[in-house]
Amino acid sequence: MIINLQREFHKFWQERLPWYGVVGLGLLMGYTAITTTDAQTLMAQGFGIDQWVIIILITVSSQFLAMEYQNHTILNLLYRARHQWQVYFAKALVLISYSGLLLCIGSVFTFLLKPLVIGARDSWFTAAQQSQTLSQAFLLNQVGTLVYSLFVVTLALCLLAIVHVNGVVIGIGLIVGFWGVNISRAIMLASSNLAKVVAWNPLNMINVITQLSEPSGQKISNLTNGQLIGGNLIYTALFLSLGYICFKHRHI
Amino acid sequence: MLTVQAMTTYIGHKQIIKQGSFEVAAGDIAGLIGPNGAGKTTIMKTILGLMVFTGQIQINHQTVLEQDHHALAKVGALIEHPAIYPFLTGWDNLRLYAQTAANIQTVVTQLAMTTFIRQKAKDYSLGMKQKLGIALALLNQPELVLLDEPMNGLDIEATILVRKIIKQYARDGTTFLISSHILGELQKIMTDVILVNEGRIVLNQPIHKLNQLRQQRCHFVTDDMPTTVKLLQAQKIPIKSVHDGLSIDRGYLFQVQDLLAAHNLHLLALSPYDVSFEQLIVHLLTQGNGAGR
Repeated sequence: MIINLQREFHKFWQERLPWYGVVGLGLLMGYTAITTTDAQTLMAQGFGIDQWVIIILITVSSQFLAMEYQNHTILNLLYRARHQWQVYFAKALVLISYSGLLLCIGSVFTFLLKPLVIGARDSWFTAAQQSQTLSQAFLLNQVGTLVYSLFVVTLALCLLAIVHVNGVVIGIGLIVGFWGVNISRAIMLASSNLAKVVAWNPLNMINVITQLSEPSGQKISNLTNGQLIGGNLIYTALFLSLGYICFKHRHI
Repeated sequence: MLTVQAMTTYIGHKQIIKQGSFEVAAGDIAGLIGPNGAGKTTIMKTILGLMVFTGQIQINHQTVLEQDHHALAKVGALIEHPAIYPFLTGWDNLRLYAQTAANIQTVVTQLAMTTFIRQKAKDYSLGMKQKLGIALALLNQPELVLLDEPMNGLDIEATILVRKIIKQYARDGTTFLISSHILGELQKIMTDVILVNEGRIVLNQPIHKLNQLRQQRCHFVTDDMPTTVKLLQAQKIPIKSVHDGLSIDRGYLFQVQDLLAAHNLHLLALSPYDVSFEQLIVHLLTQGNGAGR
């Protein structure tokens, strides 16, 4: 497994896409800084890190597996691995660590952008809401994004193993990332009697990003923080298992 | 070295290879021959534990399983396309799987890749990629190498070089299973023939035995060919028209000579009639599944 991980890390960083992801994150955060006026929201949400990291992760995750099929390297990779699951899980681990790295880099960008865009107007120790400081809200949003990135990485790998088309995976990922909350809310409104059950739908899981720092979000998600985190972890395990089964049975 | 017993390979519920059995001894070069869609690549993928199969595959007495590739630790393969990451250099592609840098250097030198091995693989020509694919298969002194169309995209010089390297590895004990559409190329190196048709192993024989089959007929010319034809047909001796004469199975040679003498017919020419390798393969394929070992 360690050898597989080393191989995957080496390939990952030799490809340009992860580096483009880092540069893209910086540019998109800059775009958010220019187009958003509410300074406290900007700081609490790290200039939109949560939103942009998810989009970057979907694209990079899907491509990281798809390239093995595009380059005909999957066959070599699979037969040289002692067990096929090692290949799939090594990729997932690389991508999860990449999401952690993106969040760290995004945090650095946030701390650099704050004095440039907001100046001294608001401090990191300014009370935001629910007796939280902005720095606490920011940190909780990062934790939420990290939890949701597990969901996103495993979802992207699972979708690619099922539909085999990179573009479709990215498309579905973007729908989940951009409209997931709205679709989920519409479903829950349409089935208000079953709202407690429907709240466990996968599209609702994205609320973990904001709800940890904003307890009022519970009214939207219909789930407690613990339930949301648990739900994300359950879906992660589900996508990982389902994705591996499809990956294993994919004809090469 | 490689033993395949009653191997049936499935895609979904469809049987692609049906009860295939064959053996390849250590140091042998087995040619896997068959028409398009016969199942050559599927056989190779199954040996690599990448297909759903029943039956048994053993490499050096270790069983290959879909779930456990322990038996494949000393196996190299080039199947269909060279498995190359275009964003890596040739050297880095090899480094991903190499046990030591010396192993990389060995294959790079053998395959004359020194001049381009440090370039990114995306800039390689078809032939360079093919060489790199072969180098990957030969990395770490494998005990078994599976090569699917290894000469694809190679120029004459490279083809001769690869042929030489394969022979050299085989002399050192590496076993090869090679499929190629270029029968002439395979003929120059293989020691064994495995013939596949419609998912079945039609034949598994050493090449020298197959060569004997090629020389089982005689060609002859008499001073009165029309009468000769009528005479042999009347005696129900199978004949084939070849150029200006006839060809018969060697088993009928003395009977035919006696008949010709009895009817006052004289031989003008008599010689062994060699069927070409291609003709023999086509004949065996059309003959069907009855010639297995």
